[in-house]
Amino acid sequence: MSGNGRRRHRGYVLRKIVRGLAMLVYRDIDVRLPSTPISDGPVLAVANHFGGLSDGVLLIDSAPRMPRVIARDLIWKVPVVAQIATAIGMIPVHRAADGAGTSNDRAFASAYAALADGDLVLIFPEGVTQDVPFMAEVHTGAARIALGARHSGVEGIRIVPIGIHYENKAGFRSRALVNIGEPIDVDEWAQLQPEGVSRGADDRAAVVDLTAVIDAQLRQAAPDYADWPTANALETVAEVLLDDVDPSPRNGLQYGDAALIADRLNRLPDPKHTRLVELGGDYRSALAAARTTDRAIATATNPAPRSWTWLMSALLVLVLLPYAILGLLVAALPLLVVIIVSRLPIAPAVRATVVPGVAFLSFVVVWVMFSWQSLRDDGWNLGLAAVILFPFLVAALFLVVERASSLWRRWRGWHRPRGASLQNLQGMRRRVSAEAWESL
Amino acid sequence: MTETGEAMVVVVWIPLIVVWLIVMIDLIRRRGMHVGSKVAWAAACTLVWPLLIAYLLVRPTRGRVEIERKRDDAQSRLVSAVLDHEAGSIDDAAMAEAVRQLRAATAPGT
Repeated sequence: MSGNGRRRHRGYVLRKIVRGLAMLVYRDIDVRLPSTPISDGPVLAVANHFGGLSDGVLLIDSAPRMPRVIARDLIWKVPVVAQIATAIGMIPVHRAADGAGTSNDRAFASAYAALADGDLVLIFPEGVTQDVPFMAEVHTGAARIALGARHSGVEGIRIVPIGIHYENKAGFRSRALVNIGEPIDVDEWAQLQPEGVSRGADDRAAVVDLTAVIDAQLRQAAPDYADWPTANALETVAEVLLDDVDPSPRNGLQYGDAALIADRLNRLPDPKHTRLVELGGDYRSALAAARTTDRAIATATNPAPRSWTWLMSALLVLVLLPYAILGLLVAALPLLVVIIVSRLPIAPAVRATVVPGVAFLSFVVVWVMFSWQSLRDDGWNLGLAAVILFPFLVAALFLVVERASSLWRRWRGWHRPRGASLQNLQGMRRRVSAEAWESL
Repeated sequence: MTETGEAMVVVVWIPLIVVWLIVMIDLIRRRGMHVGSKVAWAAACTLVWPLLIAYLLVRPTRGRVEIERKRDDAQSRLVSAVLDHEAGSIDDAAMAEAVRQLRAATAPGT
């Protein structure tokens, strides 16, 4: 088997492991796909970098094929991680800020070769992770790789912007959206340049121009808010719009829907944008003060059609409860470790790296121990059954806790504020709703 | 057999049957897999339990496109209309009509 074949097999195995990790760490992952498929041909994916290792997990899980990730060479200084990184074809890049004096010629050559093989290469053009709701400056690396590869003879390269949105990037069992934007066809772009593109990665003007295009497209796909209050206010306005069209969606409000609408509202020009941020912020604060939700206010005068989905959820919780209790017993230790880690007083971006890593290690270790103990004490039959039982019990635990939380929120919705407080919230909601629909 | 083992006998069967059913339904509904492969997987998973986990791990993940296309609720239609309008795929009139239809469906009293 060729080197590439072996790497692809390792990539296949890694994607399966990452799928399991993503299912463990996230409650829900929404993926928005571009209208043009990106499953074939040379693709350079560029993504925002808000969540450290979490970004990698989400992208590997959501991408249509295993990406060749371009990452800081610091990763290769960690034992085991270095071997895995090399085995799956990650490409090390040196940064002057890390004290590297080495040139990146080899990294660029590896990226060109990967694109020539028709691979999907992934780069985080901001360079570092951060804890603000807006993107940092997009560096020129992606444009240089795309133009350099094209100059070396690779045809049909597409640059795909990918925006990663987190409900809570440092949390466990949170939700996320991977928004894959429309590809930029590098050949088409080059043909439209009046001066042409002749010198590949050394063509400074072309690199700057293409970087500007990448920057604009990536900001379109990724969260890019002025500050956290703006992001929160527009998320509330988005919820109002979504609750207006369906206050009781079958599977609950999808985080991805709210994030995409909020992003759209964020791109509105002033004064619409400022007005919505003000109204959304005030309404959000009022909801928090009244300890209620927009859904509860939306359904006060416009009740949702009668639905028995809550009864199915309640029955499911009751049926699975014994297994969930067993799940709590067998997975108590890894759960405790993950909960402690997710509350450590460290930067959220660091927690977004630590939580998936610790969750993976602790759950796998306990899974192996649980299975091994059953195998040793109770024989092959029950030992092998324990291999299946552990993930089933953990899944039952998550399902029961999350369905029960959803039922609790629904019950709280029935006990919405009354009298003047409700009228005040309804008035605020009407103003947000009217302004938001007008803006669209 | 230890007490833990006896307890496991009690609790092990229902989860196993549930996982087995999930795998069988997945095999029946799966497209693009040869019938022979389906039968082989079904027989193997029925005879050797841990192969249920092996199947769930190695089965081709359903395309995300398929998952996305499955959704056709009012909220996802609103998202599509808003993003299509911004991208220029639909004009102002089509957007206004989409909004009117979506809001009419949930207007108070309907």
